[in-house]
Amino acid sequence: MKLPKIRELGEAIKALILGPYTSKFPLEQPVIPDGFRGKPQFYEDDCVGCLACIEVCPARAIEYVDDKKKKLRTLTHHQDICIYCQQCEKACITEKGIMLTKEYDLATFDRRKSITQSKKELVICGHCGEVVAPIDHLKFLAKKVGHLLYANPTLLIARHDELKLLEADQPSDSPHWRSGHLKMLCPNCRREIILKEQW
Amino acid sequence: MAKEKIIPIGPFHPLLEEPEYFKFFVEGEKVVDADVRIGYNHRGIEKLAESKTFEQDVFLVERICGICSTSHPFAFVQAAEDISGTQVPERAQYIRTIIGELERIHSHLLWVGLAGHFIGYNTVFMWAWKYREPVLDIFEVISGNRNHYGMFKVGGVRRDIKEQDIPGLLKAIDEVEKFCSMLTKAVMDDPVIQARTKGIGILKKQDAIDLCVVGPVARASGIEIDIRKDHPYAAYDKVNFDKIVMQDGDVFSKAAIRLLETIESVKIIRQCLKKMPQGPIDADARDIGIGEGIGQHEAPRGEVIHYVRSNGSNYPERHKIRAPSFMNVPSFKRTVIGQSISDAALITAAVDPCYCCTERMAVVDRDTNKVLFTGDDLVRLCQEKTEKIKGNMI
Amino acid sequence: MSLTEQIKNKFGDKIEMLQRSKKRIYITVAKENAKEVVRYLFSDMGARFSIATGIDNRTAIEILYHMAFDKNGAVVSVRTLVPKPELKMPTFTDIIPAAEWIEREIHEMLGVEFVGHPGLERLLLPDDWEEGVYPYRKKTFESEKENPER
Repeated sequence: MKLPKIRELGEAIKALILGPYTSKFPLEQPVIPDGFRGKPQFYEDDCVGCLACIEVCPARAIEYVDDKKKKLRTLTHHQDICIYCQQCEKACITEKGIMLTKEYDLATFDRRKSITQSKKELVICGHCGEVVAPIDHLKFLAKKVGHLLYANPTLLIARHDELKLLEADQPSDSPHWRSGHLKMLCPNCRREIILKEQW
Repeated sequence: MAKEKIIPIGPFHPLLEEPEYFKFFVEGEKVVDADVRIGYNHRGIEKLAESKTFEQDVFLVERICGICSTSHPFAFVQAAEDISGTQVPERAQYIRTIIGELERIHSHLLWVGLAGHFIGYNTVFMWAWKYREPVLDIFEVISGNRNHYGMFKVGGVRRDIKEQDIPGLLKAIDEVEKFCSMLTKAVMDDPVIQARTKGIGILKKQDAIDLCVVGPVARASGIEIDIRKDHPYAAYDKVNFDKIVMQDGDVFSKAAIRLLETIESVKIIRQCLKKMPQGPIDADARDIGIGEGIGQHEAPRGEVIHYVRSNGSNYPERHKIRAPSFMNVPSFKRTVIGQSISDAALITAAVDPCYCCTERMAVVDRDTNKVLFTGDDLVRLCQEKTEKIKGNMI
Repeated sequence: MSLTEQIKNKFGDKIEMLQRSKKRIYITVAKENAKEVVRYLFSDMGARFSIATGIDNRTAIEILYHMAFDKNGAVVSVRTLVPKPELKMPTFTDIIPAAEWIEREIHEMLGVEFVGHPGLERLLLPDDWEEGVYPYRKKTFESEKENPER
């Protein structure tokens, strides 16, 4: 019985000298390693509003609302449903639109405050009034395809907004005139004008 | 003629990790019959998995259990790879093995701590849980989280282990090994623990074969099954380790097997960290295809098996999940009958139930419906018997 | 003699075997012969019963019995079809005592009755769950749309 007791006594003395393993939070802040999964945050300058993060979220913690009158798309991320899996960051097409920070102290008394949002301006079809896409998404795609954007009227109008072709001014029950090619249209109206234009 | 009393043990007991409801029928001091009810935490995960894509399913099955949270994704991604025939790159196989073995160490240390508290050795409880913390810190460096690591993906792993981290990890593993060997020797040499747990709750070999038990419970009764050696997967066929089997089938064998397995796990981790080749970590699998597949993994509590059937779309058609405690918990019926009431809770806990349905303990007189003992009283009864044994020895 | 040859020699025409790979073998057998095949695999060939799965095919309910051969490293799955609407199947608890809980779960989730089971009651669902509502069945095309969440 003697040798085991000496072994355990040595462990006891070591525990007494070194102290407990827990740190004195909140007087001492813990050391956070790189790659820690903290709270996700939207960065509006880099987000383009493409909704890829909503497609992949396993917990359905991100939602979006389109407002056609105000031409605004609002993406909201709920921190109380999030599981911190980092799939939204991996799926983001710009790689910087939503990223996980190192914040871990997220307790709050009001659930409605624990959200982060991204608001993007929308582009509306000049013929039928449906939503096409956020303007930043079209500009991102135009930059990505390079000189090929000149083959696509939607991207051309979005990239060269100094031409001022984005405003909608024709009601939806009027026929398609040929001049409508250089107007911002949704995909359905774009197909109709190619087949049914009048001149 | 003694009156028959029912002793319910359940749903929320400090020793059992999840809610279950055990009912023991006693006459005097001996248990004559036993019954169990489960289902308190049933969440409908198998049905929910049919409305999530295969990638989202990996995160869903991770949250079935908190302690063995790597076992279920490990089995699920192997089932999905079985359907599509994807080849996983070698570096990813080694990383998967390292994560699986680290989890085995922290799960066994957790169980040893709880068993120590139940016998009455609170120091074992405090020390085992203190030395679990370095293992969780290693997880935080590798994956960013202490629980629910999110490392698995169909076709590989999500994050890499950086080369500059490996010397630090090897040093941390050495510290863990020093404590594990000290704890193993301390528990196996101690005469009070041997007198308290040897010969209690014996599960005979023929009963174990009939009830198809898995994991340390089966290896304690002399059945030599270990999925890592019988159905080799990941990097387990490239490293050396031993299968630990004992013949007695009592509570002492089950505890000793778990402690000796932690030392084998440290050996495996060290070999993997040194032998890991360079290369890609993801096979970039896109399509799963039509078919059915089975994936298995040796979790800390036994064999986890997942069956997946896919009809060619992004969503699985059927996903069957079987945790190891589903086969192990019914074995308590054969082990507890004939034992005394102060050992009943210890025998139930030696099975290490980890299936989201356990319950609190209480003792109720069947005739008058009065509560005779609460859960704390039963723990106290168990600790008092240890004191009595200690008193007889000195 | 390999595993597949041994099983084929014993049962011949009564089974259809499909070998997807060296470690995964699927056997399809009629409802009347299922118990004999599983008994041969469990008692005579020494396999271990892993688990049973129930799937709704819309025309019948498939039950697969997964038997693990630990010495060879293979898993043999025995598939039977239980036709609707009778849904009766003989119990396996007299040859494999471990099948008690899984038969209770398949009974409450899919509605299959196991004839001869010692205690066929609810395992996971609560006591006040409605009769006749089986959670794991698939929705038919005539009633509602499939997976309305998507």
